[in-house]
Amino acid sequence: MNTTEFINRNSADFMILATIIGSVVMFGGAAVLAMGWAFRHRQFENFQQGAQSIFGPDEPIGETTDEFPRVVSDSCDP
Amino acid sequence: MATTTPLTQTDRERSALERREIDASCRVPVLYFATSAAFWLLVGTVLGIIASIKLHSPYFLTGSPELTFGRVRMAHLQAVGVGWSAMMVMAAAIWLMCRLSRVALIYPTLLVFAGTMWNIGMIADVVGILSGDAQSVEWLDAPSYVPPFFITGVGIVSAWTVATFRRRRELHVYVTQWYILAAVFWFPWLYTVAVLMIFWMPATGVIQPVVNWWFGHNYLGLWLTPIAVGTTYYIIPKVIGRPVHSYYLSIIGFWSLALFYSWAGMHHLIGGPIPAWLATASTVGSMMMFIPVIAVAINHHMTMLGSFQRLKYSPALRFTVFGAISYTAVSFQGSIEALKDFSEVAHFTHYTVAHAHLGMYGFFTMTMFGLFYYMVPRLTGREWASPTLIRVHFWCDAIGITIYFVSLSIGGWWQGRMLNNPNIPMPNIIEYLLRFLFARSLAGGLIGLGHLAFALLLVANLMGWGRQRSGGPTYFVEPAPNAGDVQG
Amino acid sequence: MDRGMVIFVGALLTFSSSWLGLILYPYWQMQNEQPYAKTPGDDLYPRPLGGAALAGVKVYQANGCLYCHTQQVRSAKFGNWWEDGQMKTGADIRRGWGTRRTVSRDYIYDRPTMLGTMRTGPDLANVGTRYAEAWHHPHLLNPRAINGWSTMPSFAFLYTREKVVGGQKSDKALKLGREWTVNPGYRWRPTDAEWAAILARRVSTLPDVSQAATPNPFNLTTAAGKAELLAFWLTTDEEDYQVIPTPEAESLVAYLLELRKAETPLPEVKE
Repeated sequence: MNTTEFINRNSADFMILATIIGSVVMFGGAAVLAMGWAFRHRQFENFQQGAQSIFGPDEPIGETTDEFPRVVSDSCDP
Repeated sequence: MATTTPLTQTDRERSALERREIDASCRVPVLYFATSAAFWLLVGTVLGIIASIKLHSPYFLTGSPELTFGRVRMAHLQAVGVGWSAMMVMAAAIWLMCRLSRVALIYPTLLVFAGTMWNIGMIADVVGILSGDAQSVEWLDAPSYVPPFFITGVGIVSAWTVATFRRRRELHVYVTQWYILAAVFWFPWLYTVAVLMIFWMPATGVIQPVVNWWFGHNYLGLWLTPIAVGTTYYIIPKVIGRPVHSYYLSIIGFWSLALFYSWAGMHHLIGGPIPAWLATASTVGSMMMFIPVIAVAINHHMTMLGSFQRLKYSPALRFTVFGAISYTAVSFQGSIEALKDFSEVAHFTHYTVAHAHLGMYGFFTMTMFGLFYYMVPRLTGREWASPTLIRVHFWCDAIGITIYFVSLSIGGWWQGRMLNNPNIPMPNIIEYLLRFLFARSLAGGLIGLGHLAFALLLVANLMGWGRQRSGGPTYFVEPAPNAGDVQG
Repeated sequence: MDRGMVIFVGALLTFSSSWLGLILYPYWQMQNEQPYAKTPGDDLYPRPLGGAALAGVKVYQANGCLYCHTQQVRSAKFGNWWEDGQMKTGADIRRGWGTRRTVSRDYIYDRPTMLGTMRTGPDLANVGTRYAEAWHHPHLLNPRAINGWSTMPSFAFLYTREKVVGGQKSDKALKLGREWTVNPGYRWRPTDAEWAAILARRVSTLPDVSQAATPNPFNLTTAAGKAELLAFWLTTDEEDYQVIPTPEAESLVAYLLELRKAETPLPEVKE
């Protein structure tokens, strides 16, 4: 391996490392900022309540909405 | 909104009316997408069974170029992977987005146009492949004239989804909507990049398979999976009448899936002529997938806890829960498969085929059947004609996919072990596999039988042969005074 | 979460991370790979396909060969099995599928690059070094004519069976017994009626037998003699019909013969 090749090869490694570290910092930073934003804007308040949004007065929590369609004679089936 | 105030009959009726109106507005476009999807499922099933038989009986239907194994196999993948799956995903996205945003469907004609684009694309795709225009790029076998149709179709659906979302009257954005919004954004990007870099402006050499597997894996991971998982997040709580166990877990599940799933895919090229760090990056991504999968699994299990007896009654729930369990199983298996040591054996074998079908069938397709059984009666105003046929459908599919998975997993594993040992000649491996391939054909036949039952039910429902839904859209609430008949 | 924008931005960031990392970065890294010459002036490797071989790629694509055959040879350190208590590796090379592993440079002219993910049959990266044209054609017509155990589909539709005109067979005619050429793609056995007709003709003049070293060697009064005649009949060429490859079959074979991805030494192939 001659000198130029050696430098080329190692600079490629360095580039990969720099890219990986760079992207980790960039995306990690974005994630941290996003979390900060979410907390500041109270995205997590009453969070669990969101899960109830699919229910309504006509299909309230506690009522099932789907049955195995039973034929009439089949109705003694549990 | 949360139902903290006591319900009055008026509230109930108003709410039921609103839901009914939304469903009625969805009727034509959603059923168009869903029945088209079901049609392509049937086409794909027939093609799949033919391809499967050909693998152990090479003289079966030989002689014509159209029915040679390679073409039938590609057409099978396109029919089920692009016809059935993508059209069903769009049907689910449209209906769920309308219901969850609490707005009536807008621009129905535009959606029908988009569906027609997709159908034309699919016809050209399957016919083109069978007549010899296939591309031999996995998941992207469609002939060169097909992608414009798909891009137009999905582009319209994506834009429509965003437009509907912006008109939402429900303040809260439910977890299912997160998944839908992300998926309709990811897929057009993913597809366009893949078509661009492989066909329109081909990248050099091995970049093509890199793009190919980034697409192939993310097609499942960022298009089908988000919407199928989103569907389970809607169907399971709705059917058992109980909110998702932990909304925090669902948010962790969503964001970790978004981050890690997109990094998987290169493990399909482990040992291949690509930079080693690429495969390693994907292995890391695959291992991290344990986080979203465990989050979703815990969440569904805890939501279901105490309601498992409902699996006996509700077809929608039974199919959906089967799908959800398969999701956990297939994802765990997928993470393990991405490990280099494991991949050294399983890579070029039927083991991968078994895994793919556990994902595409056991998880995705079963979940979508669950949605079918819940959604279609609400759209047509008809109940399913025969519970017996639903049972036939479920058991044929459940047993069929189990036989399929078990036989090909065992056969594929030993195929890999034998391929790794150069002292075992090829003929022995081929001969050894025959029994497993035969079992797979049987499983395929069983699944086909299930699909026949499903098709009968669907046709009967669309033709109006079922019992009318009574007591308003909340079918099970019989004691409550009726809000009036739903007229189909 | 009640904002669509959060979901949009998040989806954009997560997805573009993988797009940059898995697609764009390798693209920049590898887009300019050049063919290799040991010393300037030597023949370059690899070379772009041309002529019939290039047309053969289309046939390979159209018929989905990729779904049973890979085109990549893995490293001698890859894949393990045990023998005499010792772990050994490198089955791909030991099976004779190539003399070295394949690297990205081997594929720079491939469009599309058909690495494949399934080995129902053997790897084809280096198949051009293993078989000659005279082997490929009968094998493609019906693989079981060559290997009885094969489950590969017959590609008889790439061949035509035609009457010999002017008593002279084409140079391209496949040298295969009747068993495989009478009904191309299938294994032919005469029906009872056909066999009776053949026997009747045998009594007068049966051209094949008259050409054999010892005329009338079969004792047709015994079952064994009849079976011998049948075997003879099935394994000898037809006289008045020939099976010849279509241009598609010829280009496919030309492509297969050009597949020599795993033998030319490259500096980056270190084990």
